[in-house]
Amino acid sequence: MDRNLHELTDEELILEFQQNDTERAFEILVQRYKNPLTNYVFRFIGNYDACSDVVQETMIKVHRYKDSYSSVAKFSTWIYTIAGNLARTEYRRQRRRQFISISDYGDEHKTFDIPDEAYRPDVMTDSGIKDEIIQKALLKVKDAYREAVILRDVQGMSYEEIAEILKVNEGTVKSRINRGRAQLQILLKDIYNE
Amino acid sequence: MSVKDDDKKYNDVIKTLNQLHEVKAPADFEAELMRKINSEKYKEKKEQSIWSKFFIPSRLVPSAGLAAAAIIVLFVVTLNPEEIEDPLIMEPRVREDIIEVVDYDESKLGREDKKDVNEAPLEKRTTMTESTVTEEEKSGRRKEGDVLEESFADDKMIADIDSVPTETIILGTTEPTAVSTEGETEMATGLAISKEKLNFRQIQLSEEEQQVVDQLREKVQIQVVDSLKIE
Repeated sequence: MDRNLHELTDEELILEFQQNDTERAFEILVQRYKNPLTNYVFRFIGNYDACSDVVQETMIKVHRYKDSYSSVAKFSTWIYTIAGNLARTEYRRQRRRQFISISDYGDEHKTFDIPDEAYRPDVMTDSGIKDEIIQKALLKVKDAYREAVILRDVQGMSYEEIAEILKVNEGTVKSRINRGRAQLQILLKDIYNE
Repeated sequence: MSVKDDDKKYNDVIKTLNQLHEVKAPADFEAELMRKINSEKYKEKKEQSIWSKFFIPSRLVPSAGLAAAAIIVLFVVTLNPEEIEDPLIMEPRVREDIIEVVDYDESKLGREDKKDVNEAPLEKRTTMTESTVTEEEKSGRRKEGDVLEESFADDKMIADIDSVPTETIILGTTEPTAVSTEGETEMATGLAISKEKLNFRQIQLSEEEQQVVDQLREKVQIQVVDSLKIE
């Protein structure tokens, strides 16, 4: 039975979960999507703890609102849409919090380095340092562009799928991806020169 | 510009992004997730149970009854509004007939030595006034002045009684004697007293008693006549 469930597609698993309330089907879906979603959300918001919470919240929503999924759409599109919405909300909340904490100092002209807690010392290597630089550059890209670039160049999704997740047409997706790439190219100029 | 051209233009960026390490979920991700899901289920059940507590039929019956009773009380109160008078503010009701007699009694007949004599007429007076009122009601209301005149006439009459020697009064009230006729009384006292307006006990006497009474009456008349002659 368990082997059979593993052989099922995402859509078949969610259908099984919807119709028979098979918790095992849900668990398999969690196993399949926990890492891709964590990667996607982390690249978008840049905070590992917050990213983990967002992905957990996404899974809880899938569990609670499983009946709202329609088999017309791909399961991956549905779950990425949920995760994207939650990630955007979390990112805005973080920015607001950072803005308030900086304003508390009272000197508006002074700039502060906000510590990035996403990277831990135990996982810091040379490639890790490079990752950190890229991550910081990504966070400087405009939200809408960043989201599209991550889905395309990090997650490897098709333009069509990205258009469905972001609920915009493909032309807009291409435009956003190109603008995001252009910004990143400027930001990562030093890395390429090395 | 086609997609391929775009990819060629930003090839270095695409390559850099593809080389990024995949960030993985924490090791206890699934355990933590299942714990959260179970706690949510528990919370949902708890919330449901709280609501269900309010809608248990056995709990609804007394509250519905209470609500119905409250509505009924509200209707009764609003439909029958009573003007509650403050007893400290409201003026007491004046019973004119009684006050009239009492005032009369105290002012005109304030002597204690004639208490026995006055008690009976007072009662009579009271009943008289009441009967007068009922007669008035029957025959139509007379003017207030007429009533006053009548009361003054009564005063005069009682004053006349006061002037009558004590013996006569005692005879008329305390002892069980036959009621004298109006003419006889006039003879004895020289005053006309209306029998109807006096509170005599009318007793049916036997023949022997009647004879005794007649003898006593003759004696009294003789004494009165004698005393008048002396004067």
